[in-house]
Amino acid sequence: MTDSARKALDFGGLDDFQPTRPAERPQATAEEQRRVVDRASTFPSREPEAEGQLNIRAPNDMLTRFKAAAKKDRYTYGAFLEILLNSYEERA
Amino acid sequence: MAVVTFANSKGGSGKTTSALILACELAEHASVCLIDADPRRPLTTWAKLPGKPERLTVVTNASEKTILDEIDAARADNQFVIVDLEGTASRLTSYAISQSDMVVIPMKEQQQDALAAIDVIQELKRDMKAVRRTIPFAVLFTQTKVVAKSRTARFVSNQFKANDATPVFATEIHERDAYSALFSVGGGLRRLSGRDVNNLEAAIRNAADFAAEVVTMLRANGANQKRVA
Repeated sequence: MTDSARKALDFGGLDDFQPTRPAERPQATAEEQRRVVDRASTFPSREPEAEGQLNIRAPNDMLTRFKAAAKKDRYTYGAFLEILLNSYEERA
Repeated sequence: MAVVTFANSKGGSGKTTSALILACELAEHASVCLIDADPRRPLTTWAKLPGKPERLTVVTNASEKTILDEIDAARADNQFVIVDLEGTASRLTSYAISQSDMVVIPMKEQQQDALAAIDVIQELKRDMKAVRRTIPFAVLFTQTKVVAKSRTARFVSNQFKANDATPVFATEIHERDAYSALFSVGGGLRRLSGRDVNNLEAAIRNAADFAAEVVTMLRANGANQKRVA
């Protein structure tokens, strides 16, 4: 018999382990489950930041218009920039 | 269904190798999903080589935020889910631990591995408090010498073995040519040829002993009682 032909042990069968569907477990969402762990864990997140910063140089009146328009509907500058970009891309 | 996570915040402690040999052993008899949560993607690379057992699926973790959903999806289709984590102390480790039926803490018999293993055990205890359940764990000595252990190795491992609060696997994963060969040849130990690696039979026996011990521990902790309704 070659080494690789050695028969695997059968552990007495493994049918007592069966897949578990999500409905059988408490229905906490992944986000809730993460929050529970976040409260106790001291291991830090190693995920790269999903947000960055952009420093824009433009005429002062343009910057004033941008800030005022964002403020009017309570958008953050980032969210308002997205609206402007979407509008620009629709026209293109 | 059982989720078994391999965690040690130090790289090179034997997580990936021991996770792979357990997954391949179990896949001889059951459906197994191996989640590769190491950013170097060693198991994803291994899975592209020929010889992957038919009942073994390898899933590549996308991010810290997706690990819980990946474990959920895997446990719906598989009898065993095995998570191989990165060698850093990260929140990803904590999330995976929180979903586990058992945590295996592989370590070489060296001081630095031992300190990292103790770190993981302390984090595991914090996670257990957070999720309000006991998560069984055990230390697995890896890359050990079969004969003539060094004094340092004996000193480190004896401290763990003498501590009742830290369960230790009776099986050690020995330093074996066959384990290294898996990552260049592909497949599991049982598909390697005895002509290509030294002492293959001993490696297979070692892997089977480890898998049997994991299954015994899971059964003792009732992980086999979770069934599809």
